[in-house]
Amino acid sequence: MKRRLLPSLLLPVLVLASCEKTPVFYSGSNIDVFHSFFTWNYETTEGDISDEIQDFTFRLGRLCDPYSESTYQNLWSINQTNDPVAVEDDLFDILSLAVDLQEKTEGYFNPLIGKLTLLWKETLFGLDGEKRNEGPTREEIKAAEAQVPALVREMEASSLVLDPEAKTVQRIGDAHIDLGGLVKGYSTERVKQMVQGIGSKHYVINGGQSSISFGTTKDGNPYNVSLQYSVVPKENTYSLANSDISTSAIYEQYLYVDGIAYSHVINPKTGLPNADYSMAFLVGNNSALLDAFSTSVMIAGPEKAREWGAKFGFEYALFDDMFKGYARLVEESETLTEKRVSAK
Amino acid sequence: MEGEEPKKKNFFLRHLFDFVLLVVLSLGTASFFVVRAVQDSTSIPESGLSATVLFEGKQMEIVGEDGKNRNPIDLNSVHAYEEIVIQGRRTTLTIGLKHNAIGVVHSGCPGQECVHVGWVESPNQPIVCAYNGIYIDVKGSSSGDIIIG
Repeated sequence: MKRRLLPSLLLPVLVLASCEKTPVFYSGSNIDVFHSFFTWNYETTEGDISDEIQDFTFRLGRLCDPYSESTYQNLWSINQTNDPVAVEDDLFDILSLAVDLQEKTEGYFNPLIGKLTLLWKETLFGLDGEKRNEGPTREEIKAAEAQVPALVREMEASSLVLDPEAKTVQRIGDAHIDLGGLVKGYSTERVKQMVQGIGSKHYVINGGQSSISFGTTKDGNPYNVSLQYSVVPKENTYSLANSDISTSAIYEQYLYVDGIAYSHVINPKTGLPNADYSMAFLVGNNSALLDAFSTSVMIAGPEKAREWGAKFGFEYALFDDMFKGYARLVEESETLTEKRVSAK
Repeated sequence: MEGEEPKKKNFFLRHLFDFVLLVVLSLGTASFFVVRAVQDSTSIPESGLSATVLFEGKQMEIVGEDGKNRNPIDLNSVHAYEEIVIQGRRTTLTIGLKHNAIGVVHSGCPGQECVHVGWVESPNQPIVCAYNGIYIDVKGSSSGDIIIG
């Protein structure tokens, strides 16, 4: 029996060794989701869930499309009728969150902004970006501005009624839903939860470059997070780990007409595509919430940024466009200043 | 001589457990190394970047000097500045390559967002030219830099 002792002990050790899982980095991407792109990198011992992420982001893109009919009951379907529409769980979930965030942001995020968004997109850039070179004429801007008061009144008179039992959504009034200010953050948050669910600590989920969620680097260190539109490259760089970050900025789609900056960011209070600030950068722990609040902070300004940051648990940095095309820091949370790489 | 066969048989019977154990151990060890090898082949390399250029969601063919498709582009093996001209949906784009860096240096698109991204040296930042349906997916070891815009 003694002769068999060594192999008997070795067997379980080798079997366990052969079962030991090596962490593997997986990555993937979806493009043209929410008219943008979505990428993910994560390290795990639990195998690749890229197909699951791919399916989810692709499906969410179709569900949240306000402009095209789909095989799903999507935002387009809800925008066609005032009857209750039965929707899938994910669409019901994001719409419930949108209504909640509308209240939390005091209306600075409004899911019923669809017609105003479309009006300004067509006026400023063309529906397919065809007007980006020449921009709109002064007359075209005036014609759009003339339509704004009626559309704002229509939006304020409209609402969404959600029935959690029947999973139905009913649009009251004539305003149209557009979740462009939430869908990237929402999908980033959901994918982060999927990746964390398989135990990953080293990950970067990038929802269209404006909503990003990350853990730590492979070595367990924080990331150096830089803001793309800074005056000096890497001027605004923060050392962050296990965070969600979100920006709302005019820089992706904007132009100046008669010295006034017009962008794709619409102020729901005025219905106009102008804001005093050019970019808001938020750091917190929920990408969906940060996405809605980054636009709200950029429109509402520093006083509301301080109030909401304390109430909903995020740090902020607010910038203006003094240098025409490059963001200049106006104000940021003290705790965020401490995380600046230059401050260390 | 007559007792040789039963002796051999007895030897194998007596050591049957040992033989089974030996086979199991060998298979276990072999499978361990196979699993490791497969995992290593799917891992992102420890150093160096590569970039895949996609046109309307599909990998483009970019023919190298040797006449072979070089997409995905191994940026780690680029040691001198190079330019590649590709045809997008509406205009051409010139892609610049440097050692472990890639950028769009010229594009006919009106917005020029793809050009403004500059040189990408991190796997956490893709380059997109929506106007031309071009997407450049940069992969590599997890860098410590993230750029948000």
